[in-house]
Amino acid sequence: MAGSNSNESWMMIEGAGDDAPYRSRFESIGCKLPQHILTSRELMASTRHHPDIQLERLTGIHKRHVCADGEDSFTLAVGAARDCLEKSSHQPADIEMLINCSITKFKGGLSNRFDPALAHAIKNVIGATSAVSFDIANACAGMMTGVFILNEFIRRGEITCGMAVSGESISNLSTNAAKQIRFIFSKQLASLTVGDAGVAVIVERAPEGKGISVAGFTTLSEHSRLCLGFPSAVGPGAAMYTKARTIHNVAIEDAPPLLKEALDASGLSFGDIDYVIPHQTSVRAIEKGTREISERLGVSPKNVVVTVDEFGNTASTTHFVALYKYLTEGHFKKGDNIMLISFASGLEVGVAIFTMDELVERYGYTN
Amino acid sequence: MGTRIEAVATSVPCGSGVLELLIPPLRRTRRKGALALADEAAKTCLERAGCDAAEVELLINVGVFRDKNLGEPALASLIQEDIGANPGHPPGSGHGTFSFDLANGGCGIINAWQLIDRFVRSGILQLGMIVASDADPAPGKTRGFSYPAAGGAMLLKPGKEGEGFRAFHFENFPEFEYMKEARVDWQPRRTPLPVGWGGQNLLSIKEAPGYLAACVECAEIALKNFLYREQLSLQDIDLVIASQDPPEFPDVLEQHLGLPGDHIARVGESFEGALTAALIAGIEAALRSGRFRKARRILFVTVSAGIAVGLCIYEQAGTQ
Repeated sequence: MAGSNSNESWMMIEGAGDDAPYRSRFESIGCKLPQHILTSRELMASTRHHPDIQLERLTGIHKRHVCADGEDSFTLAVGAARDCLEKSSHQPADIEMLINCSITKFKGGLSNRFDPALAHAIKNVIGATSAVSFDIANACAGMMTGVFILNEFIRRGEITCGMAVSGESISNLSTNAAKQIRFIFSKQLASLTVGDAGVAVIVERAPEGKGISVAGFTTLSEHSRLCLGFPSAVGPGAAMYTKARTIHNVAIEDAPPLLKEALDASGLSFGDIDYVIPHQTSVRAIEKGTREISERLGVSPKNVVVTVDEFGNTASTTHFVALYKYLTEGHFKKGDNIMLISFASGLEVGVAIFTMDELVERYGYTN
Repeated sequence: MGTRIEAVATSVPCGSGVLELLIPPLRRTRRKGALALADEAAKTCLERAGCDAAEVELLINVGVFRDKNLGEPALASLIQEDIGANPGHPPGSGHGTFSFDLANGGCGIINAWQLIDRFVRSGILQLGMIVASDADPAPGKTRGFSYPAAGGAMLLKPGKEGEGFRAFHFENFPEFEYMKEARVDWQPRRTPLPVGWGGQNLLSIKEAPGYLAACVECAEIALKNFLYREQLSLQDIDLVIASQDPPEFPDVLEQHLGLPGDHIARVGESFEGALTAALIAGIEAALRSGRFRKARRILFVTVSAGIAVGLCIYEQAGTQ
């Protein structure tokens, strides 16, 4: 199926040594976090039935940012897009395609706008008025899916610059779950791990030999009903019901051969990866998952990025919140191989492998 | 290499007979949600194409209004599982299926065509499926929901040179953003129940007067720009397939553009006013009447809340 590697990969893979005339790269990453912080201790104190759950010990999550009045999916997305443009050499008018990738589409408080697409409102506010705009929804893999789409349009020369953006106002899941959870085995337990964040990334045509080497995706839909989210019955916003342990187990079971496909396509081994950025669900899940996948692949990556302790699970934005934090703190250097791994409801498995380049300079670091 | 339409299929809730008209509760029992409509259309489409579900490599759902206003996972992944398109990851060779949702109201299908066309032209996709369905998530509770329950599916695959989608064009008119919106909001109960919760999250759709006229105006402007860019005129178009929402849009557009009476494809009664499945229904109707196959150049015109306009030209070789 995938160009030159037809019928050789289970994933839909871009960049496996195919004949694309260009490569794409991350030119700028922006982030917008709400100012208000909620600790796990404060969250558990707000539960109606005071269940015996040691949330912080169980998940490793100490705190998360949560929206206050006047903040929602739209304001977070716009804030992140503006931050992204400030750090970019591009003007809003350069953006040819703008994809809003959030699960939540709250605009004007906890009012979820299904139609029209939120992407139109975002592009108009930031001034990217000539961009083709639409929303995609792919659970926590939304931003990675947006990048996957932009990557292909740029690699083939159809556009030269695009933006994927997401504002996730999902802390209402916690608020609603806190009213109902009675036991540790509640299917709403994962709702207590979430936090709010907005991110935006500009993807542009890269100079030769740089940028995203491989991006791949597949959906293991036999697990599609393990996590369901819809409007809550008990309050404004949403509710989410997750079989978290089952999802973790099937992801660990099915991921290794898929990750190997992507690594093989990029000519790298797991040990060549300087930083793996997985989807941020809980510290324990990331540590356990990395250990088991490394065992299956026979080698470990040099570093695994964990930011969930500080931000919680911010849904579709987690990879780019982590990238942003590590860029602003100067962890990366040019030439680092970075692998983003997405596990999301669906079950979506997505990978993007890229080499860090001049992007570090936009955040004040040369090497 | 172009991307051609391999097959299309539609679905509507069964049972609109006299009994349901006389006894309204029967309608509820025979009601189909967006997922069931999408599943049915997708399965019929595969049958018509003589394809196995496992051949589908990319599945994009463009429906907007779905059961329970589901936000996660993508409805596409549920459809993928239901039709049996590589739901698991067997060891050994073969390819999987990637699925996700795309939302842009009635224009979303054209965005999805553009994505699939890109992947087909790149050579990384041999068979793509688009599914579109909308149904009232909570009949009797939603406000302003006027779309008929309808589903559609289509299969797209590589075509010959000069055959398939030729050009895409999108424009937005934010000055009309206020004219139509669909939102899910918390509605407090007027009288709190002694037991239970104090409200519910409900979908409401608001449309301002003059929406139809604004849609037609925007479509005309965008169409003029598109045809100019493509160095075409309306005389070069053999068939127009247009959005069915607002319901009068095809007729008014036809009058404004001065098209001959047989230039706009008509859909069956079940699809009048349909949102995302409208274009698929239009293609199916034109295929049935033979007009689709006779048309060398087909223009698709979509409008949606925003106001967004999506346009596309589809060409067929060897037609007369």
